[in-house]
Amino acid sequence: MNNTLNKEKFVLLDAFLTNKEMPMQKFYIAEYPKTKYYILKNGGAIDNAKDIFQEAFLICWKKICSGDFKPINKQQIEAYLFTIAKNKWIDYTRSATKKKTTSINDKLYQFSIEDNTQTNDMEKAELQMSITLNAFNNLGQSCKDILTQFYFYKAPLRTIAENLGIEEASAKNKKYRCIQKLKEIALNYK
Amino acid sequence: MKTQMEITQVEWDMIETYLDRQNDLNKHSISEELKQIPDFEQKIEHIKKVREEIEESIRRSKLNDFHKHLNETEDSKLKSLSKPNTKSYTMWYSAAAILILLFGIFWMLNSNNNAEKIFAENFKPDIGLPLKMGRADSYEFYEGMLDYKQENYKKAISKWEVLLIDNPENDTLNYFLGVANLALGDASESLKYLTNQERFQEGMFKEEAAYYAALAKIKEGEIEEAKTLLKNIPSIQNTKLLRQLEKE
Repeated sequence: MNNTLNKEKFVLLDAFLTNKEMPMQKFYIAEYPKTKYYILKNGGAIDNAKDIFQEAFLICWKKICSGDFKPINKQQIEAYLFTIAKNKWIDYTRSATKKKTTSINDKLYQFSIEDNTQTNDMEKAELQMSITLNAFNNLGQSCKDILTQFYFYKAPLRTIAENLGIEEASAKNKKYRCIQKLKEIALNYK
Repeated sequence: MKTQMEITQVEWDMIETYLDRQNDLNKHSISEELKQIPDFEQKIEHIKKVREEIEESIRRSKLNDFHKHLNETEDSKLKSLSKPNTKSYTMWYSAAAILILLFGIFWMLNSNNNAEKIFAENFKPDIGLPLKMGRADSYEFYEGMLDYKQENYKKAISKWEVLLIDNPENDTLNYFLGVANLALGDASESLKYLTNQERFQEGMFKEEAAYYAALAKIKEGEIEEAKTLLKNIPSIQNTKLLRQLEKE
């Protein structure tokens, strides 16, 4: 049993830490239903379930990579992911309720202003991410590939160059040009 | 992504090298060479942010890919009853052809088998519950209900059977276990859950449980027992089925 847990810990944790797709995809598929049922049961729709689960998954992923969350087994990752999703859904439903009630209450209105400042920052960050995401999606395939290899899979430039059949210096130039292209596309979205 | 900041390729490479080393060795002091770059601190922050945004963009697009696979998995579950999951399509097409042929022969030879005919005409699985209920309130139940709604009856049964251990008299579980087994064509197994009508007396499935129990009896060839069930617990649907049985 201990061996199994250790192995699970190794595979899934390693997958999160090194962006290995297959184990994470398997984990995503296995864990999504629980959040989906929770949200459907608590007044949400399928689209809410997908959005909330993906946000939670992303947070979990980032927290593991940053070392803020150090799970010792797979069960801890499962519980952590579900807790984030659950809290996110509670926040979402509360903020939806608050939007309906704050406008008629002066005191609450003060809180509402503070909340709005926070929300605006989050919205700005979210907007920025969606611009970058759109820009990335609109990059040419070769740029997407090189940036994914370098920034997501953390492949060394030498390996990327070998795979592309080019010199390392050319791979470095290409990467730089792709980033400039990404920034240019993002600028057009603003 | 602050697009206004101009950073040359040389600067970019130097800063990225510094950031990678910083990651590898935790804190890595900024070299004198790096300090020569105009606004180097701002540029370091900018590149850090760009790298984070690129990585997060890729993560987000990967999550969408994962979700597409999830949809494919769910779609394949939906198709699993009619198209079993196998790479060998030819084998299954052949099997299907043989089954159709056998079914044709069976149908011709058994055209007088009224019980089967009545069952086939009347059996339609209950549409299932919306994903909200009171008594068997657990994720496992809803998981099973989703499988049931997707006609993945075996999976639903395996989930509900576990729940039944702690709730052996739960009318909802017994009812859907009965219907799911009947949907799989196992009337005898279905009757294990549906026969005891007492457990349904106070619940919302009283008439429906009698209806499906009667259909299971019909499938088993126990027509008189089916009639008794339908007579004892009348409803529009039950009475209609009873009349059909009496005509035959």
